[in-house]
Amino acid sequence: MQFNTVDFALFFPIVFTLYWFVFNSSIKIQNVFLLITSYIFYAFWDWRFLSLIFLSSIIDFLVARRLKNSIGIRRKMLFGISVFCNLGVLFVFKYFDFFLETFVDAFLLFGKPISYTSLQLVLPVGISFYTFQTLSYTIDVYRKRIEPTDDVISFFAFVSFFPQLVAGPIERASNLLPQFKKRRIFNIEKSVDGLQLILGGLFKKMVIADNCALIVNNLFENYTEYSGSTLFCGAIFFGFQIYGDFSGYSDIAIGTARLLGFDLMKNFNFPYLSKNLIEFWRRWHISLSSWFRDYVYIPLGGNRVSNVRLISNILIVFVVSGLWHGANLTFLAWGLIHGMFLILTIFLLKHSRIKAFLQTQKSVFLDLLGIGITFFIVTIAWVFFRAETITEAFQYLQGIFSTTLFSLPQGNKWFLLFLIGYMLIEWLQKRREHLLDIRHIFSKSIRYSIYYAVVFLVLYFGGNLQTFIYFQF
Amino acid sequence: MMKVFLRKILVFFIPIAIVWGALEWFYRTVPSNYTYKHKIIKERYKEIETLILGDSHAFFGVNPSYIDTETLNLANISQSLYMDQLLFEKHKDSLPNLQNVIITVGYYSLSKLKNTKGEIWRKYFYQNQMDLEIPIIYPWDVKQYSLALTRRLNKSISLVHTYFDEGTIIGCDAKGWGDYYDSTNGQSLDVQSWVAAKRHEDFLFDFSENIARLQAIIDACKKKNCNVYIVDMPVYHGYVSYLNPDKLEKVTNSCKVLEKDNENVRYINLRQDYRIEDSDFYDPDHLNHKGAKKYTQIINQLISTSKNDR
Repeated sequence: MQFNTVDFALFFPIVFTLYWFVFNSSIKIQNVFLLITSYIFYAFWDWRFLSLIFLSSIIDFLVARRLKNSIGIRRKMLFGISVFCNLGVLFVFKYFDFFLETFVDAFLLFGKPISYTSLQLVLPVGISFYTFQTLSYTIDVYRKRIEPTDDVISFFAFVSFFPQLVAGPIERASNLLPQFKKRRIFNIEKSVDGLQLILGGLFKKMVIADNCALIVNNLFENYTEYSGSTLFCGAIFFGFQIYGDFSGYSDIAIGTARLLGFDLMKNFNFPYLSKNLIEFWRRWHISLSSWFRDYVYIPLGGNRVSNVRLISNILIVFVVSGLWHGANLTFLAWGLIHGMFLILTIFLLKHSRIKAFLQTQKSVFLDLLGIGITFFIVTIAWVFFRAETITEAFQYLQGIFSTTLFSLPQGNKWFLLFLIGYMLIEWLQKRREHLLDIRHIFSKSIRYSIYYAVVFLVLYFGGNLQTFIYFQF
Repeated sequence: MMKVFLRKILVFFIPIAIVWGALEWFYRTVPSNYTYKHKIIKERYKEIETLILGDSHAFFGVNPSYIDTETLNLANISQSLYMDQLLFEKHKDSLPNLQNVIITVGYYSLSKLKNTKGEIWRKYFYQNQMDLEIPIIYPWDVKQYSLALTRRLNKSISLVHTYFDEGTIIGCDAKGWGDYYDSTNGQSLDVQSWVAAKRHEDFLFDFSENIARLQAIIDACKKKNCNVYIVDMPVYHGYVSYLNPDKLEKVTNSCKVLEKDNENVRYINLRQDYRIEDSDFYDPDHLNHKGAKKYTQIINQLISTSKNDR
């Protein structure tokens, strides 16, 4: 069940009503209700894969409880079991065929063909998200940062909480799990904020992402037919497609959770207004970036290491991050590009003269220059993310950087202008919590006019239903 | 607090509910191609001798007025073989005088998967306005209860606009032929050819399901002692040049096999007919009034010859 469907528009009000009016007598009953609802929500995709969520939940619940009183090698073994089971399932469903095929291709290069049978398994929706979420719980318990829970219902509901089950934000147990244990009280301001987030998310998804998708699909399928400038616009459109798609989903997820009395972490913070790549990664898919920071980058030594180690740490994080997105060399390349440019940015900003210059010279022009350069790098990297193969990505880039790059782009100029207008709105809202955070507008009629205008845009330009991109991860 | 919240939500949704209600009323009361065709086939059950099925190529391209027998065009825009079969199954037993069934096939007809592209919303109209039972609509699919929810708002508004401008949204004549085509594109046939060919490319080569559907129609026709004419309609040469020749050949061969295996089938391939002129087309794959007249007469001639041969 997708958030932008009539099905969800009927499902959620029913859940909301039952949650607040029927099952509100105790937290336990509410949690059981949320657990059942979340499993039903997931079953709309494929009920068979509920077994994987159940398996992941039960292993981590039991392992974490055993970890509490374990020491030494037993403790390490228990932790190993959890990591092995979680990553094992992820590996089998997501990466087995990729590594097998890469291995076979490598042998073929040396003239040694190997016959093999791939598994060709269907990728369970959201597997990377809930695996990382449960894994973070076990790691935190192992590191003694949080106490393991004894409440099985709360834990199962935490793993499968439907607003963020299939595409995040990847929550930490330290933030979300305690919320299942305390009484939720309906808060009108929070709920209005939740509705604003949902409306803004639908706008991003249905107006921006879905309409960009139509253009992008055509351009990436027929890139040999278009001029460099058109292809460059295509890459920009894809940047907006994935941004609208994923941040839209996150906004709806956070808004939905807020209506149920939960606070999920912020996942996007106007990333295309970032002045450099470091800032970009603090604003883009924050829950995943911080996951990698806490569970991969810092354990590797973080930035308190030699320059060589720093470079290798960053590259490791971005290669893993690339592969997290999908079992394809294109994602690996995307991660590497970001890693390399991030390293360059870190060293540039470490340079004393540049540092001093940036600290003394503050201007809108410099900000815009930084935003432009960052956006350009991110856009070029998106080509690898979107392309089916590495060869296709290079051919697409070859098409961009041709003599026709400076010609007028074909078609879709109005939509490009619309996106520029949208970015201006983001610029105006950059200090606010989210796109539709308009509480500061005093006039009720203006606020309501804005809401109705957004509803109209969603209904008028939306409806060209596309699956959320991040569901495949 | 909750009461205040719910009251505000309800008040907020009132205008939206009014728009939805108005559109629902529009779809339920204003006659469309679907309601109209459903009405005329029921009225003419006993007269119909030739039935035309197919997508827009048949809807715009085969004009019953130029066929000697009593003919009804039951084709519609984006009508797949899946819908053709459902329609035929529904009406076949009520057509006592049926002698011929004309079905058009094109580049993508045989590979088209059910429930894709145009069918995603049209299936609800077939169900609600043509009284068809559509197995691909699940019982819990709420859209079957509201036609206004099935289409994008801009499409609905445009339809309402057409209704107020022209007094009708029916785009066909009394025999079901599509006599209204919105040709506001303005691009040359050559430019449109590439766009249309790309739009029609699905990269699918598995024809088995659609061949089975055609075979089911053919078998039902056999029982009624009725002939089936599978027609590959004329298209602009530029359009053909952008299509995959292997797939085109497979389409031709599949139709030839059907003709060979079934006595009551004749395959009429007009795709690259020598009489085609540029002025026959609205766009690269749709015949205009002139083209429809010309090629319906040709099809009529071939049907008559075919009957004499048998």
